[in-house]
Amino acid sequence: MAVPRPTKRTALHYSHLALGAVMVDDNGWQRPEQYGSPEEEAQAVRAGVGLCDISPVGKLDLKGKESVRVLEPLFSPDALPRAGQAQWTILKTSDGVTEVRGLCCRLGSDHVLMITGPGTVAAAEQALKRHVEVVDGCAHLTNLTSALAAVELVGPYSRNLLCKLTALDLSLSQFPDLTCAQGSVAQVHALVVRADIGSELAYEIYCGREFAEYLWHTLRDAGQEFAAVPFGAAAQRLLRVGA
Amino acid sequence: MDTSRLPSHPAQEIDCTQKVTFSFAGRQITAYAGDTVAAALYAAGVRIFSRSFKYHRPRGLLCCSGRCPNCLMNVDGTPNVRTCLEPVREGLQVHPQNAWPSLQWDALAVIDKLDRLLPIGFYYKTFIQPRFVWPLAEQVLRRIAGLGKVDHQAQAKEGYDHQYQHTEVAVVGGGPAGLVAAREAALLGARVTLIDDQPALGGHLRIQTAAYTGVSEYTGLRGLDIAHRLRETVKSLPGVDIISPAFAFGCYEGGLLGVVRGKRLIHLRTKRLVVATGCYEYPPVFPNNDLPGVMLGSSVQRLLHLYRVKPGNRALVVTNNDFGFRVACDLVAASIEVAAVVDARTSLLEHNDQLQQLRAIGVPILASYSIQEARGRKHVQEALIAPLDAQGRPVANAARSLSCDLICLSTGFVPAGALLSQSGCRLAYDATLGEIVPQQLAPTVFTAGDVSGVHHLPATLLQGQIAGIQAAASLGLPAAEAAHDRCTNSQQELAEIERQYRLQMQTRPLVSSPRNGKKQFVCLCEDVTETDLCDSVAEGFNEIELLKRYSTVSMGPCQGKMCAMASIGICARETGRSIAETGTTTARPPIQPVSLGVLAGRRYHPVKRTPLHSKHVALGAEMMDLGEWKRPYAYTSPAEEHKAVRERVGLIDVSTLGKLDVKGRDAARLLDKVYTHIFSTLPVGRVRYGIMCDDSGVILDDGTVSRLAEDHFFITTTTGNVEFVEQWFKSWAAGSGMCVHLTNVTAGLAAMNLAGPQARAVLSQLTDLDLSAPAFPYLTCAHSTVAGVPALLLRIGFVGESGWEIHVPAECGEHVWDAVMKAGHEFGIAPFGVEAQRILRLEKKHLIVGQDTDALSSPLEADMGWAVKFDKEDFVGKKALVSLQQQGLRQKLVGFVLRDGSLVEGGSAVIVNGKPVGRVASARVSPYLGKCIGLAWVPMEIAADGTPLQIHTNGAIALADIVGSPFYDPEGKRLRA
Repeated sequence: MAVPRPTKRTALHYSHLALGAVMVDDNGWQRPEQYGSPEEEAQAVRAGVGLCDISPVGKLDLKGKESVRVLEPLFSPDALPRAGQAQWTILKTSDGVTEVRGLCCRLGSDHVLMITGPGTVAAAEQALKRHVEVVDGCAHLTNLTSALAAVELVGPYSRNLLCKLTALDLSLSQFPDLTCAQGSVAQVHALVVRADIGSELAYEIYCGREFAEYLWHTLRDAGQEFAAVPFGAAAQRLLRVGA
Repeated sequence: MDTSRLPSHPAQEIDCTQKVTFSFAGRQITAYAGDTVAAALYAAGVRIFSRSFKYHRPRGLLCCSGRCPNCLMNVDGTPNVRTCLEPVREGLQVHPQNAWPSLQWDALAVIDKLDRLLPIGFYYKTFIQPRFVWPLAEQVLRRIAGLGKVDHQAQAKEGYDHQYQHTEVAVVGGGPAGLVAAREAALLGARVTLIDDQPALGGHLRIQTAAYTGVSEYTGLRGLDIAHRLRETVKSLPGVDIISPAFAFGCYEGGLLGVVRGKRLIHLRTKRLVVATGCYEYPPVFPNNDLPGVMLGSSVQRLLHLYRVKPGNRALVVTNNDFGFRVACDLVAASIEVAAVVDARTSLLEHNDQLQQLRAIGVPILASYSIQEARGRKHVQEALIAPLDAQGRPVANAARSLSCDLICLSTGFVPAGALLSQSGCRLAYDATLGEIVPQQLAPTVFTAGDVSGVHHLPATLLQGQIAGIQAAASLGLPAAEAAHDRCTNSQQELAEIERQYRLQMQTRPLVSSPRNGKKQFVCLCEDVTETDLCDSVAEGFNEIELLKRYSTVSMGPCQGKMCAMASIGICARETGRSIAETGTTTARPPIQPVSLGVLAGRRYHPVKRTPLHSKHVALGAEMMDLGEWKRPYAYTSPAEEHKAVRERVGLIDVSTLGKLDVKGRDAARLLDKVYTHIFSTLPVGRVRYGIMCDDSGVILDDGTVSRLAEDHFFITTTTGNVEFVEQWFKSWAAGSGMCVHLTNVTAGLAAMNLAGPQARAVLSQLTDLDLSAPAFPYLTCAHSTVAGVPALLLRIGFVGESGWEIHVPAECGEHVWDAVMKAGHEFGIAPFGVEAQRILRLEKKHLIVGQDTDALSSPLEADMGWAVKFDKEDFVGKKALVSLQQQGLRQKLVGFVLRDGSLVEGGSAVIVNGKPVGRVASARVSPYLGKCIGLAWVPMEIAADGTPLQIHTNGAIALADIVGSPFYDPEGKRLRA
């Protein structure tokens, strides 16, 4: 039967509309392109701290005693992330041609979360499934793209903002770039991944989708003292280009 | 030129180019930026700052450093503000407390004369017989005693917040010891956080104008210059993070320090702790020692040097150590007449620079003398001084009067060791030093400075250096290795300095002034006098902890800073024990009062919203809180929604159901172990109801289990219970070697239940799947697409009608809801909320765990015995349930219908012969029956079908009959249609 392609909305959809966001389609997802002027948003982020709804990113959860064997083909031996580390990798799909970039967050010795771009999660899932089948052991893949919401905090005060809401040790030396840790953020369970954008300090916070609105509002509230601003995909592109 | 202030001073912290005006009790007061409220008030001539807690005696500035209760006032609506620390701000409104009509003339000061009626612990003795007297007396006492009042009408204060920090070495105290320790540790590569509670770093050196000797590179420099150098060095070090002004109010387990900076509470987690908190100067006990005009020596120095305020015109300095001479010299330098310096020591160190200066000027210095009494009406007007005998007691009839308006007390220090007590260190009385000092430190704690009991800058600087190096070394920092020799040398030097220091210490026993009917205050906060303590000991409260609790000494705002040593000394004297034997009371956090607002911080109320939340709001639903979830109670009315579901079709958002994705070779084994039902035999594509119990056979949760593949299950749990269930499963899997992994996908799926006789008609428009009863029977599941979205469909029926639970990815939830509502329009579809669902399920006698069950309910008693498979090898709770079965059930969950139109509620008692024997679990009016129905727990004896019940409700008894089967569609025909 012919039905229109379903629109995908993040949990923060109406919060973005309330802030006057202009929404655009990104691989089937509705995302804020900008709230005002992207250049101003990017500038505000570089001067203080900005928040971006990155919920559409793909999140593939890999659990099991032999999950590290699934990762081995993806990294050179000394580049394999240890527990608490995150590392970029390339996944090849079955046609051998398509390459998907993913951030592999090693949450524990038996637990990995692979983060990919919104448009490549299906390919990444397929690629990882192949590796899981090869291992044929205790390694199990679950797609958590829908279950987790994600907010990106970027800017020099991103750490200060996050330090108001979590007891995780985010000291720069203890939590360097590409570190990941689970803990309580604003009293909800969350995963924090430091993923700097060039020279800009940046953190990605993953929490249960049911808490997304609560977390977004709490971050904005706690961020008031740092003049925190929401920023959209356009400003995000500007920040990545400058990186 | 402002004549209210002394001439410019190098240590001053006021900026005379910036005037600030504030109001005090209706008066406009002019101050300068950098002033504290108390200093500005003093400069403007205010001398009485408060009225005491019990006797309403006039009190003036005593400590000027936030450690006594005398300057507490109401500032901008906040009571009990320490005005001696509160910076002035334009437009502040300052009001006195606990005084009416004014500080100068307080009507309740008459209480001071009624002290015979109000002895220590009087509320345990008087105003309690006959019994009715106490409530009346208490009301009066509450109003006339106390400190500030909280304004209950005021708007809640904004701006409180928390933050979390982590560091390697936390140095508490920014005086010379702390500054040196921070410098040393940072230079050796440690991450240091320095916490100081004063407006500027430097500690007591900030107020010292005399030069120091024997301090290596700082010899010959004035105190305030040494402070400046140390401050600038530390500020320039990148490895030191300074939190100031802030005070550390407690040390908690795991190296956690509670630090307050303004309205911000900082949870500081540290690996090593350097306590360099210095000491408190405390006043001696003598008659009228609480008169305005009696001040601590360091207090006088602060007024003179930091704020350029003249403390008085003619001063008496009372001392028993060399610091008194510094104070006297500072007074002289400010052109204030020093009538005399009385020193309790028998022999003085004549080489002391300040002593020599005083002698040269001709200030009378009286050795082996002390103060016997202060006199004056609301302010010091004269002092009685007396020589001391060999035992340190005032010689009888040898006192003489000295006219003065200022009495400076520099007679003793008590180390600020509370943080040490809280961090696992031991403090004990050192007889040579005459103070309670750190004796044994915990491995991660270091001390330096005056807190060690040694008040000597050469020693302080070395202690700071050693503490900093040792803290860094204990962290295993490579650079600290190289500092080892330097540290050893310093330790040797320090040992020699401390040895010399101890040799020239002359401790005096506690000087006890003879009683002459005038009050001698030990605890200024609670108005506890020396007589009170002696009487308490005589009454039998002769252990220090008992004495404290009975007399309330040290239980006020200062928490013993001013009175601890005196109360211990008096207790020792009265019980004939030594000070060491008497001991101290336990020092618990907070060390300094902390407002509840700061402890609370920002209030976080995590809220869970379903992917369909906005739909409910847009449809005008009345939302309710179910735990952390927001759910719709009803859109129109529960009765209308009930009708829609029974007669046509309804749609409800059940996204709040817990959902667990379970994978693994041993998944079925784990389910069999944890649930009472059997799941290893569940075919793929089938759904089964599951109950889980704990070891004692009590129901923990219920839900559905769908088998998606051989080693892949999809579990739903009761709303709000998924986190518990996940942990429960994990704890049974842990260490078992089972290959089973659970993932919480609750929020990842939007779930909606389409139920009603027309449900099939609606759903078939949105999916190609064969939905007919033979193809998709009750209790089966299938994957398909619904409105173009991949979906998992479960054919189950909580509400008792033909229906499907549709699970789709959360991001497509709204799309599917809209599609279903659109397709259902022609069939009269209605959204229904939680209340309608409750009524519908109750008509089917479907129970809700936690509502109809409690911590004593087993599945056998809850009429769910069919879900318990005793032939399974083992499952959690099996033993208990077997046992229960053998012993026989004692209670049962039964359905009932009320006979007439009355109503009962959940919780109503079931009565037999006037006594409660059971309770109603749930009750609602059933639109189907037109009567009130419900579930109730009743004893087995009256649990048979048809038994009449009496239910107590609102003072009346309602009659009901037990109904064995579900009230609606007992054979479940509608469900399976």
